[in-house]
Amino acid sequence: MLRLIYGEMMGQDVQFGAIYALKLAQSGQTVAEKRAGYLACYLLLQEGNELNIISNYHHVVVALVTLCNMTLPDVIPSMVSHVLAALSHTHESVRKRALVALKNFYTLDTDLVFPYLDRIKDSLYDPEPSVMSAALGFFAIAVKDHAGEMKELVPALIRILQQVVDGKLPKGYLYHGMAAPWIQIRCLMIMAQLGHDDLSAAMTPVVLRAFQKASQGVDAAFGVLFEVLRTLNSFHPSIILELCQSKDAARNPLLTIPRFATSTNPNLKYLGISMLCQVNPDAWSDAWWTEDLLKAVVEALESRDAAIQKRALDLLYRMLTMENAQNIIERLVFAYFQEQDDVQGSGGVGSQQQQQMPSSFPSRKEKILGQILDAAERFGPSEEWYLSLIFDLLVRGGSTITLQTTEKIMSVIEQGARSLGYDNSRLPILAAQQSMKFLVQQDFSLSSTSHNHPMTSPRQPAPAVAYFVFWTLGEYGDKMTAIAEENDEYDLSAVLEVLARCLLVNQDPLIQSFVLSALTKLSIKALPNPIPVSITTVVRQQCQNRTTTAPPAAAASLLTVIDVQQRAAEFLMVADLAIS
Amino acid sequence: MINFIIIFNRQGKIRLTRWYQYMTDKQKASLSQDVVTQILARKRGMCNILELEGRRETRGKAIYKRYASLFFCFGIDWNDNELSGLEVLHKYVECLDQYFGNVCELDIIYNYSAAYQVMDEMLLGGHAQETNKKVVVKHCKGFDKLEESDSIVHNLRASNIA
Repeated sequence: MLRLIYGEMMGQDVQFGAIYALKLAQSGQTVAEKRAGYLACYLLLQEGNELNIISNYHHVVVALVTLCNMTLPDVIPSMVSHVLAALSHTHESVRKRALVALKNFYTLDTDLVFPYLDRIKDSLYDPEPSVMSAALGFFAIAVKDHAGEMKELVPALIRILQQVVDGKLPKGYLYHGMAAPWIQIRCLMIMAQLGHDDLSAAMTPVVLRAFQKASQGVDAAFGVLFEVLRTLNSFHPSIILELCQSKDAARNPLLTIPRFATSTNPNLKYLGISMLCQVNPDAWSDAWWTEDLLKAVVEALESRDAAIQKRALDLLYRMLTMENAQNIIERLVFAYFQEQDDVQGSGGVGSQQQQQMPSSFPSRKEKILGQILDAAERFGPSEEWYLSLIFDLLVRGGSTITLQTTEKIMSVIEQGARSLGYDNSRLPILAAQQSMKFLVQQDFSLSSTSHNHPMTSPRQPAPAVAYFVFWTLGEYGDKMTAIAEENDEYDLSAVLEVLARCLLVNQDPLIQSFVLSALTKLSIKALPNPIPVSITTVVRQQCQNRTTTAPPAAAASLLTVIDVQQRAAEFLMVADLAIS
Repeated sequence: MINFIIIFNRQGKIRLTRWYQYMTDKQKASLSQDVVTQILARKRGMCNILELEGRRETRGKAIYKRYASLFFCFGIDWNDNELSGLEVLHKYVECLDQYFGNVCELDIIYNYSAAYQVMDEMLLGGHAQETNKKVVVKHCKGFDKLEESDSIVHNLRASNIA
């Protein structure tokens, strides 16, 4: 690499080294290597662009291709002016690549390219279709952030789409009977981004024309059909609502959905179900929801093909109503437990990162969990059912159930669920009762994870369950006497005794802190009745045990130990209040 | 956009890869292994679309198609049109076919640089930039001629100096 730079300094033509320079810059092991790579890139690429004036456009093309594949943001500022000069090169191949290079720059650093937007818009009107297509590609990315400025593009887009659909492009762009499908799809995608309100009306006619043309075609046409539907769905809702009513296949794009979903081609089935997910539920009219469609959806659920099954499950979630909620939620729960745990999937990512890694995309398991919780809250048939579902999830749920999940459930119980089947006044009390039963069942020990992963970490406690159980007891433990349904009524002293037992049995500091806060809350509610002496002695004992045991190794658990001591001290203060 | 391209055969041996997004070598290796095993496990009647959702860093779909003994797999973004991706895949294979004249796996093994060349002509930065088969093949063959003439001139110069 250093020899290359030397050669360049001496004025030799070392253009061939550009690729190697790039590679070194990106994957160099040491800092020295990376610096050499970057320097070489800078030198070589600059020279490459000065070759614009040379008639052999191939060199320019190579330089631009390197730029397109680059991911080095610092080199961009010096390159932008060169690339813009290339935009007006005589050879269309160069113009095309200049546009793609600009698109690449845009994704890396938006502000650098933005001032030159007008020049790129001019490229839209380029007589060469491939250059226009590349400009469209640029806008497809840019429009997501800058929809406002792009509104002026709409008439141009409409014209382009009209031209393509009418077949005005050269014969070479015909693909299996379909005129330039990729250009059509790009136009549609940009329109979808731009068309959120008033402009939709202007764009609808041309979109419908594209739809009509596509309905007559074959393989490639299906892609365009899918895109048309997606675009229409992102337009103003009134448009799709008006269209869905008509039974005429030419007018109603939604009638293609049954065609997709019932076909024997598995790809089309997948896309059919995808489309169903995207259509606004208000637009589900009898005009196109045929018997066959329903059958196809049911079939998809049972399909052995994992991808189709996942889509169908998503669709079901949107179809939730009071009647079918229980079935659907059962399916969702089943799918949830089938889904592989994220930690095992990513292998080397490291278990130390799994706890609080801020991920931009929720994993599938988290998504399903969110859906289950949401569905259960909105459509559950009864409180007992809801609580048994929650307990099941908390105990068996695995690492996806975090403390945040528990907090979500807690806020539901506190503020009341939206489902009509629930009596929200009963819900918290039942929760407390269930918690008591659960604790008795578990013999007060929450450290056993005999349900899942007996091989790995058998002594790890399940914090989410503990969190939930002790929170409900703390908040609502005193209200349980209000419901005299069960044979075994739990009154406050029984609850306190249970809590004390838990304290004795579980030595893990996190669980102990939960128990202690529950105890404190209940004792405040129990005032002015005094706390039984037995319980206070237990707490004092635990407190002393903590101070006399050897300091634990990690700093984190030291903090929780101090936390436990703090809570124990608070409880003892309250207990003393009652006595005095 | 297309995030990666992997071409592999039925035994799982990878013949060609192309990445349009920055990833460390370790991530690339694990992702390609993941995708290859998942695709090889699929049966005939299943659809050509795979959802890659297990990883936290990236979310996308993998579309694939089998041509004779090779699997061509494109990794695309979640919201992309899958069918258009499949068509681009097919177009790429058609271009390869026209360039090599009845392409087979051996052509790709021995002339992988030419396969990359065709790929770069067609796809750039993760998007299809030229879908006209004739233009793509014409450019590639033009490049070949240029290289040949360059190397002839270079050899002449070298022999003259010597």
